[in-house]
Order: sequence, then C-alpha cells, then structure tokens
Amino acid sequence: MLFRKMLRDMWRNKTQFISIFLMTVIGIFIYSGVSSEYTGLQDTANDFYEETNLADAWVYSSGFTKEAADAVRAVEGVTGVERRLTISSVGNFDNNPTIKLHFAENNLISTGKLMEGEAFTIEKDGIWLDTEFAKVKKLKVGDSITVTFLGLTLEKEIKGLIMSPEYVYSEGENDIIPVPGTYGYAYLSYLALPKEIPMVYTDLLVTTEKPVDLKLENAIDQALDGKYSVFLARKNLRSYMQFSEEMKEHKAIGKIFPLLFLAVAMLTIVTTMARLVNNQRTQIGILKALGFKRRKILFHYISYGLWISLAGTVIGAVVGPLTLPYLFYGPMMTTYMLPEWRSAIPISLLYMAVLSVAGCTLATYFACRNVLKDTPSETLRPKAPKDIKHSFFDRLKLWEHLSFDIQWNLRDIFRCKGRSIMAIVGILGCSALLICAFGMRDTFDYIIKWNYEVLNRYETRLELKSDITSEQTDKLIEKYDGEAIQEGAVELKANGKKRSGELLVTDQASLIRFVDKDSNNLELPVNQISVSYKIAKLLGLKLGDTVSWHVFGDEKWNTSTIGAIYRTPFTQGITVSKGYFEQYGYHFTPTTIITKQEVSKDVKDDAALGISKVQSKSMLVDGIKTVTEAMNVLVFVLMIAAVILAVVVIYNLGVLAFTERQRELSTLKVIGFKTGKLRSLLLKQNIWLTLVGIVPGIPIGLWILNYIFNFVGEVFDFMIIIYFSSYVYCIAGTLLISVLVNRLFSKRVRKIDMVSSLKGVE
Amino acid sequence: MNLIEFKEVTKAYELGATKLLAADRISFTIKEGEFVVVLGPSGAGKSTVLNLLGGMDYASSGKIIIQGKNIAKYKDDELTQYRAANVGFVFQFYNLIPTLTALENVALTKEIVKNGVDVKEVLASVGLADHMNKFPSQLSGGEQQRVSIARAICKNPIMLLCDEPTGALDIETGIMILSLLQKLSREQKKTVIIVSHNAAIAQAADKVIRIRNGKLTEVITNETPIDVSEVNW
Repeated sequence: MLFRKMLRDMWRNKTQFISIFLMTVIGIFIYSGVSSEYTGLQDTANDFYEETNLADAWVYSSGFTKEAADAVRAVEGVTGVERRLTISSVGNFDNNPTIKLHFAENNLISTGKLMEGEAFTIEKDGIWLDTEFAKVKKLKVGDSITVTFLGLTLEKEIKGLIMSPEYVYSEGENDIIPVPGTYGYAYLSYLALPKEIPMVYTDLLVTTEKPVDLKLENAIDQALDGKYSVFLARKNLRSYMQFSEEMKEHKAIGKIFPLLFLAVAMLTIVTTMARLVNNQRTQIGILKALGFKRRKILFHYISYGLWISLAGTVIGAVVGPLTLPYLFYGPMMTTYMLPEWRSAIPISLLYMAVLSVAGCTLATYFACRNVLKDTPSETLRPKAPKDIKHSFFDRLKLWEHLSFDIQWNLRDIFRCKGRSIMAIVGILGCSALLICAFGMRDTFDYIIKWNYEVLNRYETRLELKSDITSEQTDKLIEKYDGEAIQEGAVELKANGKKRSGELLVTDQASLIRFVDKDSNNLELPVNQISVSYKIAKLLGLKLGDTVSWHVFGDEKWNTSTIGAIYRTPFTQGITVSKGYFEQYGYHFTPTTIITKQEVSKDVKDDAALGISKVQSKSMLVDGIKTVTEAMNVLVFVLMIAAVILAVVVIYNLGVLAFTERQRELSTLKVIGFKTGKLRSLLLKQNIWLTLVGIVPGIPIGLWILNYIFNFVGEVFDFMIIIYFSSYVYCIAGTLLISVLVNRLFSKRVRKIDMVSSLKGVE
Repeated sequence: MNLIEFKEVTKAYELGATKLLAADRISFTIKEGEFVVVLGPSGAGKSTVLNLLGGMDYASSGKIIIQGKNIAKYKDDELTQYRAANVGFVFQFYNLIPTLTALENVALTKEIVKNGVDVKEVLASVGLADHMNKFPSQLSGGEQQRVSIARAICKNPIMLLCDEPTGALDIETGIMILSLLQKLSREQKKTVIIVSHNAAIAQAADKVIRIRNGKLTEVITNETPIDVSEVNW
C-alpha cells in the first residue's frame, strides 16, 4: 500500500521527481558513457600493447653493435632487447608521403598486430604496411609499393597489413596533427635491406620487468657507456604519451560534470522531500496513530529518494555506455589508430552508482527525519508557523525606503533558504556549463588564429628533402621570397627532469612571431636560448635558469641560460637563432622554407626537386579542425546539458514556489494586486536569483575549463580564451531560459481561485 | 473488570516560563464494551486525555492502566506496538491518505496487524461496498468518515478513540456516524470513547466524563442510555 502511495505521491509532484530523475540520469549517463569510453579504449590499448609486446624503452644511436645489445640485456631488470634499423623513406605517391621503414632483427618486441594477410617473420621477404595508410591509399595485400630512401628505390610486395603499438598516435614530420595519407610506417625483415646499404641498427628496443625509472636508465646508460643519442622511456613515447594524456582528459571530464548534476539532483531531493514531508504532516501523524513504527515511516519516505535515484542511475548507466562512447569514437578514429574500438564498463561505475543512490537516499533522510521526531499527537496538529525573525535587512535604515516588491521578495528568499540556494546552484551550474562550452569553442577557435595569424604568418610551408643542395635552397628562397628555418627534435634536462621537445632554429625569420604567456609580443634574444612556456612549466624553469639540451641524433649535451619564455599552442620546445646554434658547433641546415606566397604543388623545376612536401595554411587549418571535432561533440553535449539543467531546476522551483505561495498570492490578489503585477513580482525574484547564480557560475566554469585543459597533454598549451561575446551569450542565454521558464509557470497566477485557495486547509 | 484505568494522570506543557496543565490529576475507569463520551468545552483537555489513552503522547505523571498494564511507562516502540494492537482512531478531519483509495486506506492496516478483519467486509459493514475504489477526494464527508471508521475497526482493536468524529459533518450525517459507532459498541462489544463538546450526545452514552480546564468535573454512569437516533439534538 505504501508503495502505491509513493507512486501516486510522485505522480502528484511529477515536476520535481522528473527533474530529480533527469538529473541522476544525466549525471550517471555522462559518467558511465565517458568512463566506459576511456576504460574501453585504455583496455584495448593495454591489450594491444601487451599482445604486441610494446617496448618499455627505446635507445637511439647511429648504430648498436651486438655487444652493446648484449650488455643491455645483462642489465638487471631488463627482460628483452632487440635491434632495429629505422629509415625514413618517401613513398612513390603524388603527395610524397613519409614512410618509416623498420628493419627488424628478430621481431619480438613492438611487433605489429596483423590485420590482414600473412604473419610477419624474419625469413619472409616483402613488406608489412601500416593498415591506415594502406586504407587511405587503397592498397591491398598482394599489391606492391615503391619507396625511395638514401637515393635507392625499393619495390616490395605487400604481404600483410599491420598496426604497430608505437603508432597509436602519430603524425607526419613537421605536422602538428595527424593528416592521414601523408605518412605511414612499414615493417620489413633485416634481410630485405638492399645490399648497397651497410646494416646498422639505429634503434634498441628494450623490455623491462617494471616501468623504466631513473635507476634503470642509468644502468642502461652505463651498459652502453653513454654511446647513444636518445633514451626514451615508454611514458615519453609520443604515441603512448598522447594517448594516455587524452584518456586522462576524458577521465577529468567524465568525473567533474556528473558531480555537478548529482549535486543538483540531491539538492532537488532535499527541497522536494522537505516540502512533501511537511505537506504530509498529518498523513505521517495518521500513520503513527495507526501504529506504524517510526522506522517504517522513515523507510517509506526514504524510499522516494531511493527508488527515483535508483531508476535514474540504472537508466543512465545502461544508456550511457551504449551511446556516448560512439559519439567520441567517430572523431577519435581519425586521430588514433587502434585495432578495435570497444567500450568497457569500469568497476568505478558501480561506486559512482552507489554514490549517487546513497547520496540521494541520504539527502532524503536528512530532509525527512525532523518531522518524524515529534510525538504522534504533535504531528497531527498543524505545524506552528515558522518564526519569522527580522533579517539583518530590516535593521538597515534603507529597508523602509524599499518598495513592497523588494521587501516581499527579499523576505521570501531568506525564508525559503533551501529553495533559493537550489535556484542559485542550478543557475550556477547552467552558466558554468555554458562558459565551459563557449570556452572550449572559443579556445579552439582562437588557437587556430593564434597559431596561424599571430605566431606563424606564412601562407605556405615547403618541406625540404634531406639531400637538398644549398644552391637549391637559396634558389627556392629567392623564388618564393621565403625564409629558411630548421626544425628538429631536442631533449631538455633541468631540475632532475627530462622532456623531449621541438627545436626551431630561425635565421631572423619575420614570418614567425612570438608572444609571452599573456599574449604580449615578444622579441627573442639572439644570443640566448628561448624556451616554450609549457615546457618551462613542466621542467620548473624560470627566466635566467640554466637548462641542458641536446639535439636528437647527437650525443653532445649543451648548457644554456634561458633568455626568453614564449607561449605557443603546439610546438613545445626551444627556439634559438642561427648564430647561437652555430656557436655550439652545429651547422644550420634548413628543413623548411616558409613564405607569404601561395605555392602550387605542381611546380616542377630544378629547385622544386628539393621539396618533399608543400603545405598550405588552409590545409593545416583544416587538419586541426578535424581533430577538434571530438571537442565539438563535447561542447554540444555540454550545452544541451546546461539548458536541461536550467530548465529543469527553474521550472521545478517555479512550480514549487508557486504552490507554496498560493495563499500569499491569492491574498495579494484579493487585496487588489493585478495579475501582471504579481507576475512581475515572481519574475523579479527569479531574475535576482539568476543573477546571483551567474556571478559565481562564470569563475567556476573557468575553473572547470582550466581543470580540463590541464589534461590536454604535454605537447599542447592551450591558452583559455573566452570572447567577450561568449560571456554575453552565456549571461543572456541563462537569463533568457530563466525568464522564459518563469513565464511558463507564472501564467498560473491568472488562474488562482481566490476563494478556494483561501479556504481552510482540507 | 476495568479495561481502562486513569490514575492521577497529569500532562503539563511548558510554554517558556509558564506551565500549562492540559490534564490535571485526572482519574476515571472504563469497562470493556462501554460507549463513553468525554465532554467539555474546547480547550478543556479532552483531546489530551484521548491522546494519552491512545498512546499518542506521554503523560507527565500518573498511571494509565490498560488491561492491567501501565502504558504511561512505555517507551516509544512499546507505545507504537500498543497503538498498533489495541487502538483504533477516528478523527474529526478523517485524516485519510489522499493518494490511496478507500480500500487501500483500510488495507493499510494489514501492514501492521496480522489478525485483523477482512477489509472488504468491514467496508461493506460501514455501507461503502460501492465506493471502495474511490479516492478520498471523490467521497463525501460522511463517506470519508466511514472509511476512517472502517480503517479503525479493521485492526480489530479493543477500543475505538473518536476525536470529535462529527465535528466536520452536518447533523444528519453526524447522527448516522454516531449510530454506527453505538452499533459497534452494542453488537461487537467494542469499547468506544468519543470526545465531543456537544452535551446532547450524553443521553446515548453508557458513561459521561466531563472535563473543564484540565480537571475532571464529574463522571456519570448512565444505566439506561437511549439510541443515538432518539436523541433530541
């Protein structure tokens, strides 16, 4: 019977219970959806890494001897070592894609996962090609592919299509983001290397018992006697790092937003149940008089919160993993290469579900327990009216001069604190979500502007072949009125921390500008090293600190004093002038020419032979836009959630406040207040509460945004930008929702029947 | 044998500094099957006596002996148990659960008492066989009060406590309700205790207890009570 009573009570208060239900559904939906997405991907990736025996560390040099490999194998903690030759080649296609060729000695570590064709073994001749690349280039098993490297042309039959665990995330050289079809990789046996080229193993793949720490790195360093250029632990591998950073980001998103919705659900429960229990005071009295145990009555009311949150949680937990992951997977598939895309339900969902149900149930308990304390005879009597104390407003001299509207609304707000707080929190959530959504959109929008209008002012990048002659380079510079730069990779060391980054050597380039962390223009010093803001932060560096650095492929470490810290979104690393670079004994060899002119890809003259790739600004911008599509999904979800949150909370509160004040309103009506006047009275309070909610909502939104952008990954540095217009939209949007919803329920003022609502209770 | 015995029962409310005696050393006895009326002007302490009798409130001092047991000493849980097993309440404002139908309101008691009376039978006995599936708001005042009585007797309690059961009803309906209660007392030997401020009903009672200002003024045992329908209202 009591269960039926509950269902009918819920039906009577459907606005509130539907809103509680929706809030729990959305909260758990986001949590379960996002968490099953990243858990699934992380599981897939982990399985993939394990199955293919991804190396725990990579050591690069100009060549490892068998003895060197054996020495590393002997280091304690090392479980396996394999040598490999990696050569960058150019595929024989229109767009001259870069294809990394890996010549394996044993193929035991970082093996490719076979997707199609026959398995790769050392004995077999042929090439095992990157599945994604093959897909874009429409290559099948059995086709042949021609690549050029070191002046040689190699044609091989494609024996199989593979996925390498080292290339879950990868991008072409000098690309900021992956552009499918412009780069790829392939596995071959060391026997397939043409005889003209002497066999040198440039890579040493190492597997270890435990993740590589500094001690193990030092042990390997000793074993190799320092004769190597780069040591890369798994966590610093670009592919591995980028993927796990992205997972971390999703985790952050999946954690913070559900909490907001669950908080609102709990608040709604508290206000709804407190009101319900108050209204059912006599009913509770009668149950007590009938002889129901206090515990049973309490359980009855607690079960409202329990069932509604349980229903919401279950639905959210079922629908979330079935829908949300696939929203993310679409855009992510263009960025990450995984053998499969599956979602998985994490155990933490259970905790979250328990948390949500327990939280809501507990909230109900706190709302109900007071009424149950009284003796049955007290409960059957109507509740003594709440003491209305004079608030501190009344004591102000100003009070008497305020209009009735303001006095009435102020008293009302302070008398019904729970309701007011809920309104403020709901609005706060709504505006915070909108700020997040707009902030993401604006930040990404600005990043493109920032990178291609403020910092890099060229129209075209001409990537140069490594064997280009300096005459050809000079000719290209002259022809296109370009500027030469050298790009490469460096490793930085400071305060006991190590990071790899990008190297930029400029020859007084005017097409690349720099800004400091607050977006002010910055001139980089000619005779000092300049470090990007993000890397300085990661290494704990300040202006004037010293940092050790070395160029990839070179064993020599250099020490420099930081002369400037510049901020840039994509290429974290160092920038030096040509002169400074040469002081350290390096030779300035341009890798890229940048120009203001638009360059056709079809140019075929002598100098153009030295170009490996032509990249126009619009191409680069489009590339970034595809990557940010995943973010757009999120922006969209957030906006919808914000609107639902605001509508639900405000409507629910409106209805609640309206029924509670019905007697007051009809009294006012009897006195002679016009309907319009009463509606504006209600609207006024609504607008005040909305404004009070928006004020903290904006900084909280910014805080959430900051929290999320903390997880974008080490190579990115996104300055949070929110355009002024977005603030306006956010505030106006929140107000608009608030006012529209208010109009919806304040219509009822007209319908108030003065006679019946002023008659006695029951 | 006495079913109920009030011995020097006092109920005091502390209102700030002043002490209000809602019941001041009240003593009386009620026998099983008696049709008792507690009379007094409003605010005299009638409801207090009824609440104490029904285990809905604590006495400040004195003994309330029901079937030989002093319920004045009972703790909260024991009182609940006592109410569940022994007492049926009928209120002035019916106090039905608005979200349950007539049938469900009565069936609610099945969740507390195991050996109660059949729900439909009880509803039929109060003349509501045709209205069982209506919600309280679809019933008239008299009908609602009859549901309330059905709910009270469904538990098969040893006493029915009625607080101004006709207070919200018109005279004809009120007479009908009182007749029903008298019939229950006479035919089923239920102890019925009615609180009222209407002295006319005294003629129909086996016993009349008068209270004024929290004090017992007189107890009259009426050897020849008349039918409610014959009372001159």
